[in-house]
Amino acid sequence: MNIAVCIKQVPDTASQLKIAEDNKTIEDNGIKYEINPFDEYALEEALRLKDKDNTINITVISLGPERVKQSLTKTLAMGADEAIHLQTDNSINDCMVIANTITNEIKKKQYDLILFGKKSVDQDNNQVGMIIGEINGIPCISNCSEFAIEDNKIVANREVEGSVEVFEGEFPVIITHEKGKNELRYPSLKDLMAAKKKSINTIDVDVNDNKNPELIRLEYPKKREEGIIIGEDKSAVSELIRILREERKLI
Amino acid sequence: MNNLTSSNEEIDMIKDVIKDFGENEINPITSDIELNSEIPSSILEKVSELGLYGMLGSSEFDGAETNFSTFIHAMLELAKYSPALSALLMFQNVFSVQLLTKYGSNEQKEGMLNNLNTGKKLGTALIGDDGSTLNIRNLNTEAMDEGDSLSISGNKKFAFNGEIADYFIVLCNIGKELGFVVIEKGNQGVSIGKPINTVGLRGNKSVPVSFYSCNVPKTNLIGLPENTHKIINSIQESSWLGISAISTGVMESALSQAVKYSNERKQFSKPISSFEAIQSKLANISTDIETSLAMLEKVSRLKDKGEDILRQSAMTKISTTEMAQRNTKQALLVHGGYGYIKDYPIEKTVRDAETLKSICDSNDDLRLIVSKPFIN
Repeated sequence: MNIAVCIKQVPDTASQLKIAEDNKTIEDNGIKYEINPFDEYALEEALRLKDKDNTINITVISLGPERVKQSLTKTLAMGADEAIHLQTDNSINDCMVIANTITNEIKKKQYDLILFGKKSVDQDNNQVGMIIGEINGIPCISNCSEFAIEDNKIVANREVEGSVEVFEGEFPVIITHEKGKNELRYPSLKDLMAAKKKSINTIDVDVNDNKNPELIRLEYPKKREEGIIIGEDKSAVSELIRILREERKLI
Repeated sequence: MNNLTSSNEEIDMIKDVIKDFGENEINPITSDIELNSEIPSSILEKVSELGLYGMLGSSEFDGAETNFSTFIHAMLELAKYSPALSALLMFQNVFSVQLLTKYGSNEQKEGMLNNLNTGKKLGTALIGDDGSTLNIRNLNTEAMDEGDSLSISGNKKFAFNGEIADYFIVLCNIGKELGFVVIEKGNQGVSIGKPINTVGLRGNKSVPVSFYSCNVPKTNLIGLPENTHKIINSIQESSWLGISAISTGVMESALSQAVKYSNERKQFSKPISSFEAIQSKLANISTDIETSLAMLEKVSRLKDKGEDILRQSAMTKISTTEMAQRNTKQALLVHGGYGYIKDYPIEKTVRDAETLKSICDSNDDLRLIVSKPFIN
């Protein structure tokens, strides 16, 4: 079985982001990048399948600049078999462009299972996996919380309000993964050192954002207003209700 | 934040893994480690999975085979979360893994290194009887020649990791020469004392160990007697740099605590970080961290090149441990009165820095090594 896991490198969620002078990008200086957390959960699920069946081949694919190689090396240390770097220095916001670029790569091999994180935490588009499904005519189970392979079929769960939807399907299939239930593994230092010697297949891709829709500017979110103390005894309750009802219209 | 010092991909990757491990696994239990003076076995199992026990070991025997510079950065990063755990791993790597990898016979390597590199067994070297690595002239630990075997008797007051060590690599007098002998924990005549109740690095347990007529085969001797001083020098320079790395990690922890507190704590309706007296303290700590890093990186690089760095590593230990002592106190002062309350971790950081200054040879002794070329 061939599994592809598509990962994106995103700024470390603990980083303090600053908008760059062009007002469209973030300042790269001093930012640490990591694998998008949802993609890490998708990778963990693939690795768990491989733990049980060593004949499974896992290919990790990532689109982005040179720094992406560091994340790909980490996935090789964690247990992936191959890593493909679709290299571009262009910043691409259009999910259709990203999906077409990845499609060109995944068409080269017969993948049975193609995994994505449900969304990237930097742009929150929640689209690429599903668009790739549409382009290639591959069914997609989105926002999957867990899945298993049973009798050569995929059985996947999606948690919705108050219940769990259980899907069953044939391969090939695309899954976009939620935060999983399984604990993520750490790559061992020995495997990291060995992974450095494994090669990453780098393919220069000539892609440009088609700027429709175009990212016009980045803005900082509004600062939260400072809280107010209405009072300290029972008399404050009626005033609190008045503010929630009349001023904030929350109740 | 941009650092003056260099970085490379290998170091960055390993630091990232340790950072994840520190934030997810160590941070939630820091106060438990302190309270129980014990690093839980669940953490030690994960440390084994990460491969931190055998960073300096060769891949032939399941080691990670990193260079010394990478090892130093890893210990520094880990020390931000737990200086005690970082010290445990530093001793394991320097006092057993590196020693056997460099100087052990093939038979010794095959017998011990796989287990040491994976953390299934721990090892520690016992050099001076009083715990120092410098005071070896008046050694009272004796190995009597009994034909095919040696009989070892003596007392070692401080065995780092001694409570959990499986192998003691003991420096003893063998006739008129000095030599290292491996004695297993279970060997008859080994007596392990109670853990020493230390002020800082709580969770890292040193114990006194006594040997009464311990009989070991002569094949347990490590290296030829003429190499013993080389082995001691290798342990000295590596452990001094190791302690320096941990001290630098402790300073980084102190700085992040001071920065966090000074941005949250308000006085006169402003965060106290807006006052120049506080800014000056933060700037001083930050500057000393960069100085430490620059020294550490330079001397570690020289060690990777195989140069003699005994004096430079002594200087680095003196400088970084004293900077850590000074700067952790400055970070405590940023906390004002709250710095003296155990609810804030800065008081622990101060105690860790104090302890680091005192272990692996006193700085006064190290000054004698640094000044040696100046004395006729």
